[in-house]
Amino acid sequence: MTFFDYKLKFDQVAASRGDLTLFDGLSFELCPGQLIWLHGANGSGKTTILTLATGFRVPTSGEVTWSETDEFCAPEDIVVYQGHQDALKSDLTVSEDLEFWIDTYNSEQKLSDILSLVQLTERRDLRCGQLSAGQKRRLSIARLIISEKPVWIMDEPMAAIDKSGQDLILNLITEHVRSGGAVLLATHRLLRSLGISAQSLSLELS
Amino acid sequence: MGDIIIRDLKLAWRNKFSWWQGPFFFILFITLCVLALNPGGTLQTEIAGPLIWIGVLFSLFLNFTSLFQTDFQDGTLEALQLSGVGNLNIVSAKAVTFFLTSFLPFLVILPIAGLIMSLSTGLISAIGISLLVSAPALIAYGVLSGALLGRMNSASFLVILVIAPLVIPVLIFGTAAINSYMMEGLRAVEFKALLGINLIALAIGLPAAAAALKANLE
Repeated sequence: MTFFDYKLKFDQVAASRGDLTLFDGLSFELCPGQLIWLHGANGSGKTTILTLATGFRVPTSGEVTWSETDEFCAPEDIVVYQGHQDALKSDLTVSEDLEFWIDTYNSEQKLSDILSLVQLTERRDLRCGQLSAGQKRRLSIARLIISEKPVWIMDEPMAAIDKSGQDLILNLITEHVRSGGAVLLATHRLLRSLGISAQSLSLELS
Repeated sequence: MGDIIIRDLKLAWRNKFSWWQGPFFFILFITLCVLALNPGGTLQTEIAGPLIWIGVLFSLFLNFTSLFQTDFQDGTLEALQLSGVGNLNIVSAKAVTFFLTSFLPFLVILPIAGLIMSLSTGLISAIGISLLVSAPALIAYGVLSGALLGRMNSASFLVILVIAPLVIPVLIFGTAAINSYMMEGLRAVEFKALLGINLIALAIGLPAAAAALKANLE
């Protein structure tokens, strides 16, 4: 997969929850080949930054912009999001779920390749509701690969996942970054200790 | 849009209870009405049509709440929004699926309601036609209420509050169209009014539902 030049930019962004200011004056850029790791206590604003990056949320002040080949674009042009939920339907089989996203994204990815990448080939005919939490998470990451979007926004992608599952997810993230993609990731886990080099953005409770 | 319709039809087929809870409630409502109003006899034509209409409306209200609820809860709507499908396509797909899985079953079981109420075939046909012609407006307003309240649990009561004022004109012209159809057919003025209401409901309801989906994700 080859990506064009793109950028996700936070410029002096502030966000609040009710009367509480979560953060103020936040500026950073996410460019090709970068991984930014957000960490901090619960309630410090990690998920808020991710939802700002997806365009679902509007900042209190400042600006979030998305651009492709130096021209502003819509978030959906470059961003794909994996939130707390896996966006799976319990009554669909693994294959049906992936086929749905392949069709929706008009993706050129092949079902068999994706199944093999997330190591779910043998579970292809199983309904999503019958998968373990880790398998659901892997299937959810398959959607990010299918989307062929350069910027992956991920909220706790390794929550409730065993060591081998974490290794697989980290490999997929690393591979995406190496191929020119970018990842904005919120997790409590220490990425550096898992062998991934990332810029870290530490958030404190306000 | 077609992919969403096919996926939702597949899901509805696998969860058959969701198809039949509305019609079951409807038949129960009709049976209780007959027992209460005129046990053992024939209901007057003037009240049979409106009773069926009210039964269908309340049964539809039950389903409007769940239109977007699971998509909100399992993260599908967030994923769809960033897939570039477009919110208007999402709500339009939901409207089509709702018609096929939640509205058509009412038309299929309408003859059973007719048997319970001892209605003539002509009257049942007229009621069916009036419901069918009103379907776009009813569904557009239902999709709007579902999109507005999709994130709330136990939102059924709020759905009724949101949608009831909107469906009153549809109910008035829809029930009036039953008798007119039996005399004048589809040329009756009530059907022209329903056509106008449909156009307004589709033009306002679906874009408003699309905007509500976006606002609900914030």
